[in-house]
Amino acid sequence: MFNGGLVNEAIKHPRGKGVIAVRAVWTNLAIDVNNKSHLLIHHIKNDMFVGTWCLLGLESHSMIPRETIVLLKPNEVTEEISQGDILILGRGAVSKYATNLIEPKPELTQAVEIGRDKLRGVLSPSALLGTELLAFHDPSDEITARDLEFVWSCDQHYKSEFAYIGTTIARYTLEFKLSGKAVTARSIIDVLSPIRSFVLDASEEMCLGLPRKKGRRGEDESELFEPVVTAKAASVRFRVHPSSSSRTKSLETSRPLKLLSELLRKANSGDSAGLRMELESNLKSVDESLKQIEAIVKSARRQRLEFSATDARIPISLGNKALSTIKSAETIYQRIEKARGAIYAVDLHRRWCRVSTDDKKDWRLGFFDDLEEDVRGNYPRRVEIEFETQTRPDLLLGRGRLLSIRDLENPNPLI
Amino acid sequence: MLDESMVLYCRMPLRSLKIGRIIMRKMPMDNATCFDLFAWKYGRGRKLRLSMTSEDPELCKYFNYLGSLGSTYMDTEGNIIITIHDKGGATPATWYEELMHAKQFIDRGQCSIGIGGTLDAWEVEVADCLLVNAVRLGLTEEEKNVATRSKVKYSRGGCDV
Repeated sequence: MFNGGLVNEAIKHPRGKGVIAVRAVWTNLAIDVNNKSHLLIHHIKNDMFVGTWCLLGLESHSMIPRETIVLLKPNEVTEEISQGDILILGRGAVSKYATNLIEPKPELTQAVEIGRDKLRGVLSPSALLGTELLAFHDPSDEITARDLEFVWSCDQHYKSEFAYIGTTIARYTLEFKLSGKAVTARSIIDVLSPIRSFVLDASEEMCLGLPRKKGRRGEDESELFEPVVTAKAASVRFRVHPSSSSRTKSLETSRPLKLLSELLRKANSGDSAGLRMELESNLKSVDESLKQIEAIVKSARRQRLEFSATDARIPISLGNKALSTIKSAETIYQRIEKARGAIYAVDLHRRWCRVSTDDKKDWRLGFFDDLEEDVRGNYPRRVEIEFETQTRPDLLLGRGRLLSIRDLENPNPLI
Repeated sequence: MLDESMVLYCRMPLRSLKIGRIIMRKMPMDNATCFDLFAWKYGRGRKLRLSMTSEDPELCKYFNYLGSLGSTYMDTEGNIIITIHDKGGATPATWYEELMHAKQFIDRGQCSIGIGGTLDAWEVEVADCLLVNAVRLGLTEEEKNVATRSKVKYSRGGCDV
């Protein structure tokens, strides 16, 4: 069960530096003195994650009537808490709905239970939207219209037809914030194009197991994995969600986005070996993907982009460090090798050959026109090859570019 | 369960008080002494602290802003701080209310607010005790109204603002 609260007011508390007292409508918040670990609270402002707070304790005040105030101390904080902000306990997600069709109309902001699964939420009257509903749930859960038909508060049963108006992290989401002074449509396209390319290509490889194609993408495939981009009003922020197509429900379309998030974080932390390892364990087209990540980071650097994700909520800025990490990941295993083995397949049209070397490795090597005559001949035959590769040395299947090839024995002893 | 004898602690001055095996007779007591006795009886092995707004101007401002006369705070490690807004006109009922809450925190440890929260039920208990002991505590009409309103609000869940 996921819980959270809608903030009514936040006041500085005299009990310690940075400690704030929060008046909020909580769906449920518990203090367990036997559990010594601090409960982490995620702070959402204007539909964006802006930081995390630690729960310090509860303060029960004798007011008219008595009220409970929650004390929080900053953990990783970029913004102050203010009225209308959403606080989520732990790793929950929240979705926002609105309606004018609700019976009876609620007069006060109140904690509610939603649908058969008794999801926790906060129902509040809104001047602009009629009645607003926040539903706290598991990030991987989808809330259906049927779930929202019935809403219960402690003393009231509401019947309603809610419409989805926005999500904070209903699905896996990448968030990009453009912080440059002049943000033009061109700069937005500059940022989003390489992200879209990576998501589409990685989706095909990860979800369908298809090899990467050269040239233009087919419309059907693009439609199947096309990421959804939403913009937040009054700020230059973009959220990239997995495809919303009903056809892709079973395809785990959030996987490429999770991979992209992981790769960008590794690039930012300077872990080039980890970056390459992550790519190799998820994708076959490592070099092409690295080029796409490089394009994303280059455009991010140009547009001074800040990036965050559902599972990594503190924003990072992608800059020179990330770029140099990617560069070193490109060349981390780059080397020239010599080997002996048997050439057993050749495609002279696409210019590649396959060689099984004596150390039980299989190489798929591309070559230029000048080597065509040397490659041509009878197969299989023993050869000595020199090639350039970036494949990890411990892998049995590798790719590379052929530099030279020499026959070890006469392919046709009669000539 | 709430302790009926606590009502005695909060009457000023107290002429007779029995705590455990110690019997004190004809001893005038103020509320701070009451807290010391309360801490002696219930706060063993815990960090139970009393804080007065007259000793801290910032705390005084905070309580003035909230319009509160007292509070009971429990942190995630079980430490409890009772704060009395003595500069803002805290009454014996305020002391009683906060000591009651502290006792609830001590006895039950775990507490929660919101849907199905335990703290709502605790508020009703305290309001009930205040109303039952209204005469002994010398509750004013306004204090009785506050207790009644608390009881009504938290009997039905108390999750609105």
